Amino acid sequence: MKIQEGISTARQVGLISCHFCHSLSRYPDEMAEKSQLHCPCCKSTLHSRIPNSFNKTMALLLAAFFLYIPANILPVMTVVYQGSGEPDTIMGGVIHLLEGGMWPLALIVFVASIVVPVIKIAVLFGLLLSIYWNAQWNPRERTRLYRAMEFIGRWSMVDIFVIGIMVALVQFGNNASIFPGIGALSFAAVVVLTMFATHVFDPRLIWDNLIKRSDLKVNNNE
Amino acid sequence: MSEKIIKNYPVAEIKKQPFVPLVWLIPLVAVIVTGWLVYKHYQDKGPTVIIDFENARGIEVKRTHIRYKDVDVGKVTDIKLVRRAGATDTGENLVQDRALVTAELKSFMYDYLGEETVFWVVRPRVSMGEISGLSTLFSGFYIEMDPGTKKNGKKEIYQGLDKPPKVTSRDRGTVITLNSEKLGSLIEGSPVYYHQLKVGEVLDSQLNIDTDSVDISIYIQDKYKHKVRSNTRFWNVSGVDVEVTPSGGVVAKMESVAALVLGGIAFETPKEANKSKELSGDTAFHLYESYKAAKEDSSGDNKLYYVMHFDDTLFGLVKGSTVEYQGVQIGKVEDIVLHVDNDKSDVHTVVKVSIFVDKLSNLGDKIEVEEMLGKLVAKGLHGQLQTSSLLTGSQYIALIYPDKKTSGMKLNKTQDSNMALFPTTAAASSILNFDASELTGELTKTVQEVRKVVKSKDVKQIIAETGKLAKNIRAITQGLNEKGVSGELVNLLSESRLAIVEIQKVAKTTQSTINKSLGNDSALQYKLEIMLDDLSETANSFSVLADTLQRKPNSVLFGK
Repeated sequence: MKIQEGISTARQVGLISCHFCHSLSRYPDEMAEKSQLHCPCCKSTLHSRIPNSFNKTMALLLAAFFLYIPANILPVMTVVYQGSGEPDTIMGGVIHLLEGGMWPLALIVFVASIVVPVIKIAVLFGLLLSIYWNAQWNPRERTRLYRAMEFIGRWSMVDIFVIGIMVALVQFGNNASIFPGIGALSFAAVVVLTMFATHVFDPRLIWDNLIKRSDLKVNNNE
Repeated sequence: MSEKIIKNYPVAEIKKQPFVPLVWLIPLVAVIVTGWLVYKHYQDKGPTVIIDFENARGIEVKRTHIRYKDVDVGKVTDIKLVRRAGATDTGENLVQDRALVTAELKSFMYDYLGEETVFWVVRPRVSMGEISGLSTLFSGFYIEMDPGTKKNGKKEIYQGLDKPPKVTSRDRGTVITLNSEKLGSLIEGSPVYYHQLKVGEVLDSQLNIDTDSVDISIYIQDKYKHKVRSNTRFWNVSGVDVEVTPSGGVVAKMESVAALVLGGIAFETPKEANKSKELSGDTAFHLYESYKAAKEDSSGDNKLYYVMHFDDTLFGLVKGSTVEYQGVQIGKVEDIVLHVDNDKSDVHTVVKVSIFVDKLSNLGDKIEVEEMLGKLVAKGLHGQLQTSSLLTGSQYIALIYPDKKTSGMKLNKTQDSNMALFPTTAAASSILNFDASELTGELTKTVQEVRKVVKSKDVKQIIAETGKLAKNIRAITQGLNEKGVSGELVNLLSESRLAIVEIQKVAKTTQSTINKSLGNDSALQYKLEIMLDDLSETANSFSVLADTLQRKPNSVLFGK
């Protein structure tokens, strides 16, 4: 699929917009290694794309992926009820809720804590791979996927909020108490990292693939 | 958008890039953190144990925890049912279904597993002696473990007990096996007393097929275990011990109310510590039926056996009757049998007695005691049946020196047994088979004395003088009759004065005679008095007893 006729990116025509004062400026003809562009108006740094977006996203995504392992293996919280209780992992909690007949709640926890982070990591990874392999396929759908992912991504934090509130509220000593586990910390890190990864991902990279490299005036990463 | 417009835009300024982006440090840190967390998680896992339980009652996967000293040390991860083919002692095929419980312990538990490690389920338990595990009513059952003392080696499958072991490795007490003919009313948990203080309890009891007796294992607390020595005697104190003693009277003994309900065992160690050794290893003791049995019995090593022949009736003499020397028990009757002579012409009784060596020798030296008894017998020591209780008619054997000196006897081995024959003498008087020889002898003596007195000249003289006095009195009376009272009153008075003097003389003579023959403090007089007193008292007692019996015959059994 090609970009619609008559539409060109700022980069294509050799222009760059300032993120702060939104003034347009031209790319210089020559540029030394390890140098930055600055806005002639407000002197802030200029990027036509989020700098190092691919690498940053990939790094954060990988970090999130690794932390997702302990987040699922380790207990996220310990519910002590009448003197006895045991640590529960995320999946364990979902199963408990299901066994307790609270399947709507189980569904919410399952979606927010398992489905969403997994989808988020998978989608972002897919997008990064598509960029890496210069995929031409459906840039519009991919962008839409990115938007949807960015939207739902924040909801995985629900679990962390629930744990935070419960731990704070349910402190009745031996009768009923809830303690956070190390898994919750990992999971929070996963959510935050994926949010950052989504944030540093530049969806324009998807579209840049459609433009021939020769057409670009500047390096893809700049 | 034309090229021209674009050219109007100012050119962006170029500056040096300030730093190398460190973004790849983030996944690096993430990997390190993840690696550490996962490593720690698996390190925390600890050993996995499989416990073999009879049944999995109360055990739930993931819910049931393993505890040691009330510290949560793991939890059950799996329960499986296995069918195991085994063989019984008699060789029959036996299929056993067992519940195999898999549990994951914490990492620090590696050091707590050994060959002796056992597990058991803690449930609410109510027994006669105690109530335990009540807390599990709320918290749910849990599995308790005892690591055991041996630290070596991990086992594949650990033993799961049905009930908590009475002795755990941390109790560090001593387990002693007692051997008894009957279990009595002992149950698991029955207390063991030392000086009526609870120092342990009964752990287990089982039938010993080989000896056809009951093996009872008891546990003695660590701090009291030195009280059990090689010569310690254990006896059963279950319930109330009512006993009619040979020395008369009824003795009822009860150790404690707990022992009444639970049964119990008491033990005592004779004071002579030099004769006993410290306990070493597995020692088996005999459990006596009663305190009396324990007290009387010496182990076979410390007894000397003798045979006695009695011509008297053995009614009232039983196995266990005492052998006494001057009222102190030094032995007991082991057996009473009838012996038929070789030519079948005579049947006589044979009483086997044992003499407690410990009583006669501080060192428990058998040979020393044997020699000593030999000397005593040579001096004339005899066995004699004596009655110990009028009511029960029970008898005992007393070792006495009879009056007629029969010294020079020897303890000879009898022909048909290797036991020496102990000389005996006929039973002395007892009130039941009233042999009044002694009393008759005394009476005869008295009668002879009296006859002597009567036959003596003094007595004849007294009688003669009394006759003279009578004549005089008669003469006075005649004179009075003839002369009349008024005329001869003075004469009469003087004559009667003479008569009184005469009477006084007679009385004096009589007194001196009696004193001469009997003596004021003569033994005969004293004995006679005592004897008469005794006899009258005895008669009184018997009449009272007879009255009582007539009125209430059952008073013998139930008292007045």
